[in-house]
Amino acid sequence: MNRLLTLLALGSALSLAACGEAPAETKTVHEVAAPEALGDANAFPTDLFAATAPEGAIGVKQAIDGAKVGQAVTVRGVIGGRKVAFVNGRAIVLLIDEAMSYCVPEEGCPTPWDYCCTPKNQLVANTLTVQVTDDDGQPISSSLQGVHGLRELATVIVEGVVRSTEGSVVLDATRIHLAEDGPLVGQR
Amino acid sequence: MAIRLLPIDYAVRSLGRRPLRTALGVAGSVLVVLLVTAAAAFVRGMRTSLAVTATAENVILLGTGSEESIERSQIDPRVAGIVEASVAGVRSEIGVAFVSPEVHVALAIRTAENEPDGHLTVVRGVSERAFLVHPQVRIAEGRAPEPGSDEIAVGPRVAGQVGLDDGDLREGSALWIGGRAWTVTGVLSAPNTVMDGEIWMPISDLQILTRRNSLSCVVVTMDSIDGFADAEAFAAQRLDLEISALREADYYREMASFMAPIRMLVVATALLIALGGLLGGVNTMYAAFASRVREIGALQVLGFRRVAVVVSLLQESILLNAAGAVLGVGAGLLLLDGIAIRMSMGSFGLIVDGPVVTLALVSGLLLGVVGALPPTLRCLRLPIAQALRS
Repeated sequence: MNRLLTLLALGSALSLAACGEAPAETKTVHEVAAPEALGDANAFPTDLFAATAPEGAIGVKQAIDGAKVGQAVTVRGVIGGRKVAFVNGRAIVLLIDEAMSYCVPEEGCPTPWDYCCTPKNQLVANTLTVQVTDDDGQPISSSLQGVHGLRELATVIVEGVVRSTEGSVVLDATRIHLAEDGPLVGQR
Repeated sequence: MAIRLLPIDYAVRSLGRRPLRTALGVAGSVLVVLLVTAAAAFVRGMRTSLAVTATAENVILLGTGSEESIERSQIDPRVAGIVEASVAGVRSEIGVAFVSPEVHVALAIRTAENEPDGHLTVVRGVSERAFLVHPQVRIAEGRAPEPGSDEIAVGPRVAGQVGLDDGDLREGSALWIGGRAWTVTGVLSAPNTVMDGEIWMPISDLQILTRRNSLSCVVVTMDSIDGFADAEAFAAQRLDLEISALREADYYREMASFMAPIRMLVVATALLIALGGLLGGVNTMYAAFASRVREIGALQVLGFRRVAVVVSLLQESILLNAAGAVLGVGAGLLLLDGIAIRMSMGSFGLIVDGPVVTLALVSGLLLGVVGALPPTLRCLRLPIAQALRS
C-alpha cells in the first residue's frame, strides 16, 4: 500500500512537471531566421528589382530633410524601424538611416529591427516609408517581405518619387536594389 | 463461458448498510468535484472573456511600443479624425464612421467619500461611437452618461470589484472617482467580456479628470477582416503619429497568453488537491474493503468469480462518486457560476457551462474507478480460506 502510494505520488509529480502549455515562445534575437517569402514576386513589375545599384544614393535622414512632393530621389537605407517593418498584404516597407544602430540582444527588444532602444523622436526623424504602387497609385496588394531577398535589416537602395511629406515621408519606388543581405544578429 | 455478475442492487444495498461511511465518501467526492469545477470555471471564464471581447473586424490603433497594454498607450487626439478621412474600408452607416476614440485608464474607485482605499478598476472614456464598434455592449438599464455632468455607466461586475454586493450599483447610485461623486445613469450589459467589469464615461470627462489630451487608442471597425491591411498601411504611412495597428482579436489573444501562467497555477493546484482527494479515497477504500474481506471470501465460495466481485466493488465506488459528482456540480452551478474574479485591473466571471460540467462529472467517475481498483485488487489476492477466517 505504501509502495503504491509512493509510486502514485511520484508519478503525479512527474506528470505535473511535464504537462502544461508550452512556455510562451521567447526566441532570443539570435534565433530569428530569414522568413519565408510572404510576398508574391509575380505581383510586382519585372523591372522593379535592379541587379546593379543605382547611382547617387543619399541617406534616409538626408532624404527626409530635403524631401519635396514629386521629387525624384535615390535613397540607401536599412529595412526596419518598427517591429512590423513589412506591411502584411501591402507593398509597403520602412527604411531607416544606416547611421542608426539596431539594438543588441542584451537590450531586450522584441526584435532587433524595432530599434526599441532608440528614442521615438529619433526613429521618426530617421525613418521613411517605401511603397510600390499599381497603376491607380495604390500600394500593390502583396507584401514585399522575402521577395528577391528583402528582409529585416537588409540594406537596400531605392529609386523613386516622393509621394507625400504630410507627417512623414512616403516614397513611391520605381526600382529596388538589394545592396546587403540582413546580417545574422550578433555578427554586426 | 459468460461470467455471472453480482446484481447491481447488491452494490446499492452495500452502500446503504454503511450509511456514515457512504456519506463521508460522498462528501469527499463532492469536495473534489467542486474544486475541479471551480478550476475549470476559472480557466473557462478567463479564456472566454478575452475571446468574446474582441470583434473580428476591429482594429486597434495604439502607440508604438504599447502593443501589450492599451492603458500605457498615448496617441495624438487627431488620430481619430485622420483615420476617418484617410483610411479606406472603414465601416460606416448613415454617414457615421465606425471609429471610436477611447481612453483606458485604471483609477481608484471608492463607494463613499471617506473610504480610505479605492478599488482599482478600468475606466474607459468613450464617445457614442463606442457602441458601434463594440456591438457586444449595450445599455441594459438607464441611459448613456452625458458629458460634463459627472455621469457614468457601469458594467454589472463593477459592484463586486468595488466591494459591493451584486446588483447594488443601479441607476441613481453613486461612486467616488477623483475626489468627487459620479452618478450611475446606466448599467451596461456585455456578457462574458472584460467590459462587464468596466466603468464607461464620456471621453472628454475622463481626459479632464486625468489631465490629459491624448487618447489611449482608436478602435476602428473595417468593412471586412481583410481591411486590416489598410489600417496597417496607414500606420506605416504616417510614422509621425507613432501608432501601430493591431487586430483586436490578436490584442486579447496576447493578453490571454500573458495570463497562461496564472491558469497553469490554478490547474496545477486543482490537480494536486484532486490527487490528495484521490489518495485519501484510496486509503478509505482500503479500510472499507479490509473490513469486508470475509464477505468477499464468502462471495467467492458461493461461486462468484473474482472479476464479478471486482465489478461489484467498482459499481459501489462509481455509484458513490457519481452521487458526489452530481452534488458537486450542482453546488458549482449554484455557488460559482457568474462570480466575478478580480485581476489587477478589471475582472471576469466564472463560467460553469457544458464543457465544465462534463469535465467535473468525468472527474468524479474517474475518481470512483481509480480510487477503488487498488484496494479491490489487493483484497482479492488473499486465498479464500484465509479470507473466511479473518
